[in-house]
Amino acid sequence: MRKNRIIIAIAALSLAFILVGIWVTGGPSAGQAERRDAARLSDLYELQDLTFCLAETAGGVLPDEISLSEICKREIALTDSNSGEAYIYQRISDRSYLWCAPFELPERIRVFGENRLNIDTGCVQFTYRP
Amino acid sequence: MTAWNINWLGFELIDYFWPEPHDSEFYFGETRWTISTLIVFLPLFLFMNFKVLDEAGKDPARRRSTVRKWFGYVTLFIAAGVLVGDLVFTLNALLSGDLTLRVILKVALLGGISALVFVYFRGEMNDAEE
Repeated sequence: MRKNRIIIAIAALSLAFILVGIWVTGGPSAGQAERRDAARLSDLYELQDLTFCLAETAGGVLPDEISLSEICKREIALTDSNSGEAYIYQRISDRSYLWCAPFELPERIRVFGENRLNIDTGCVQFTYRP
Repeated sequence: MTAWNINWLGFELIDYFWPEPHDSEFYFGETRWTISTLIVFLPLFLFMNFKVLDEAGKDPARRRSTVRKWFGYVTLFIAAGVLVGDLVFTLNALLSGDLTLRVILKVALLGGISALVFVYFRGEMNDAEE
């Protein structure tokens, strides 16, 4: 009898954890949104590479606007392929700039290194080092 | 497998609900993995447990199987080791001033699951010896 109670306790605890876990992670739709956000973040890093190239070709000056040039040819989308919204570039100083994307669950994104994602604006701040 | 994953998922949920300032961002991938593992292994564990108890009920000699006893004593030894280790860790955390609510919850969960496993298998071994 005691053994049955133990099995029931383990099963009940497991079931409770599974339900809370699914509620916390958000289920399949949240998983899909996380993957779309990961693609957006990857795009922003590629756009950082494009920005660096444009700045280098302009004599070490960050561009005011981003456009694909002959010298800086990249297979980069300037818009988010899922929502169709354009990624937003903003130069904030001679050495700093932002790239923003329409993230769905920005609070779940892990950004390593010195670049930080602002979860309120969906912008990553990059530093240009010539 | 079930006991391990209950603890793992429990630890993940405790980290999520009781975050600490120095934590890195929460990663849902591990939580999803433990949920998936538990969803598969929990019914399997319940089915196998039911089958073992059913067969032992029909033929009590099965309880005296050497393999069964050997497995039972090894599990008892591991559960006892985890309980002792849990106690040592708790005292060390207390003396180091690290006994936060989060640590207390994790220690309680690990101790609780180990105690359930220990009591269950001690009952099994007692039945086998009688």
